[in-house]
Amino acid sequence: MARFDKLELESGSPRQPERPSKSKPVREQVPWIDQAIEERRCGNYESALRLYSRALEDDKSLVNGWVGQVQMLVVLEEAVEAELWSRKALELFPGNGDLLAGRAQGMHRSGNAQQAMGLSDSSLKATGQSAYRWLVRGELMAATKQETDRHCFDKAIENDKDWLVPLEIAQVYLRLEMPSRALERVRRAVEMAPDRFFPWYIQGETERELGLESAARKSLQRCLELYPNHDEADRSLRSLDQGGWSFGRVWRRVFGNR
Amino acid sequence: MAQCTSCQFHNMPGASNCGRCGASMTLAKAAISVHPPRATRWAKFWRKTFLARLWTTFKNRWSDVAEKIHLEPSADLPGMDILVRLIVPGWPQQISGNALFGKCLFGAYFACGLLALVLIGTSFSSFLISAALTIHASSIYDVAHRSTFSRGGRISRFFLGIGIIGFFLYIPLYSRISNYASPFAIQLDRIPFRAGEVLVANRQAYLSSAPQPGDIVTYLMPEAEIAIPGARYVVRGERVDRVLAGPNQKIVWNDGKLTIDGNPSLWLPLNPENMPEKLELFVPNGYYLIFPSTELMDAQRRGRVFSFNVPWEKWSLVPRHNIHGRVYWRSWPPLRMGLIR
Repeated sequence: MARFDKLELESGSPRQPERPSKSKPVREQVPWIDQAIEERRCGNYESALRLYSRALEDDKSLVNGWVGQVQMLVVLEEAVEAELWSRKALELFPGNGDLLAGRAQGMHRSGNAQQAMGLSDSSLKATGQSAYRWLVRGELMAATKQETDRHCFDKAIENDKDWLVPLEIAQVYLRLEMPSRALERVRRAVEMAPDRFFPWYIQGETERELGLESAARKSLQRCLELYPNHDEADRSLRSLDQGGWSFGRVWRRVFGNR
Repeated sequence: MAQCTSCQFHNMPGASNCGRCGASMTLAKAAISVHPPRATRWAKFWRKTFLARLWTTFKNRWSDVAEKIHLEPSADLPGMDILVRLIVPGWPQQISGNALFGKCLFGAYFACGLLALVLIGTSFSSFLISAALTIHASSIYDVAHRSTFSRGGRISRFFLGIGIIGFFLYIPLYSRISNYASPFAIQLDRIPFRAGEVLVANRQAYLSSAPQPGDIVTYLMPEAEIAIPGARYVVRGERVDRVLAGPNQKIVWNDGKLTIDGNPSLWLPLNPENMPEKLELFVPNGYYLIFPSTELMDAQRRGRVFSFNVPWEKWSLVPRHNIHGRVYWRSWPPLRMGLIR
């Protein structure tokens, strides 16, 4: 007889034994990760971060969730937090190559290039292969003005044929103020996914950086055609229309209809 | 078979950790926060500023250096070999396996000390001496810091070390240095010196040996009264000039040339322009000949300049006890710094 069987409960009904719960199969939890990746493809990094966290609430053993969180923190310019978080994740998954790469990226962006390089070495030595490790390596190389960055980024693309990889490479180049190199990569992303608005937006921004105004305008317009509510693209397009000086622009401003 | 989610290694059923990468196999439902820390808007803004980047670079460089020089305490009591070496900053660190830190301390101390001596008598010198003392104190603190984990113990050992080193090293050192390198400033333009220059004299130079012709010395000028229309001046105080002859010598100054006992002398007063055309003197026993050539040869009163008769004989013969020291270094200004000959 159980110890509390004779206790008088308010309901008066005997306590039902709990059903033996089975942990949800991994397949059911993956959609959170998929949704997070989809948000990344749209440039919604805050939402992606939340979705990665949601995935981890269900299953903390999803390494991709931890890695995704670190990547999102890095992209959201929270490199210090990314470094801290990757360290915590590495306590759970010691020696994981992607987390090491994430920590290297966080450390590099928070100003510690020397240790970042060491961590990147460790990430490449770790078991398995991934595009992200090579992407981080490429970023470190590009930041230190070494020509091997191209090779590293090519390796990243070899590892993952997804268009998100060249797009993220382009974003790295843009962050390092190398828009001409970024353009080469973002064009590839656009070729791979011409029906997605985000690569068009990044391409537009890159062209704008390079002063290719008409090309930038076309890219941003294409982005808005695919997703009319894209505020950033709309704003960039308007600033393109307003910025600079030309006789035609002044004519349109004074006499043209809006 | 349980597959590791981190490295995909197939582990034996029931394994709590992955046999290859060590990741926890029972992590899925563990009570761990999965929400990462976030930066505030202000933190993000600050990190983009130049100052923040500079600070981060400094912090990272320093952490690299600190890693190399092992700043962590070891809790080993320092032995006698280390305590004795506290006398030189960086020496205890050198022998306790912290060579880089030791070299840095000693190098900084040596550089500050040397520069302070070169610039002695100036405010820069005071600053550099303070820096050197601070470096020495840091070296002592490092030894105290490593010797114990107790905060009180560290503080008491630090102050004990400072007290011992201060009493047995710096107080005697100060009294010696202040005798051998006694700085003084020139108050008025007196050719070849200018107002504001700092000269250094060795006040111990003539304790055991006699002044030699050619030495530039600081001496107490024999007191004399100068009368000009409407005023009387008393000239006295310390002056700087060259010793030209010793006791019992006869000197002749003729048209810019000096002969001593009939022999031409190698030496001239510091400002020969101030000298009269002709002068003959005999130096009595116990006296030295020092022409007051740097002295002002006129006096000003109410905007008018009056020349007066310089009492050369009275001013030029200086008793030995009035010669205070040998002037050998000009420490200020930096462009005129150097030995005085």
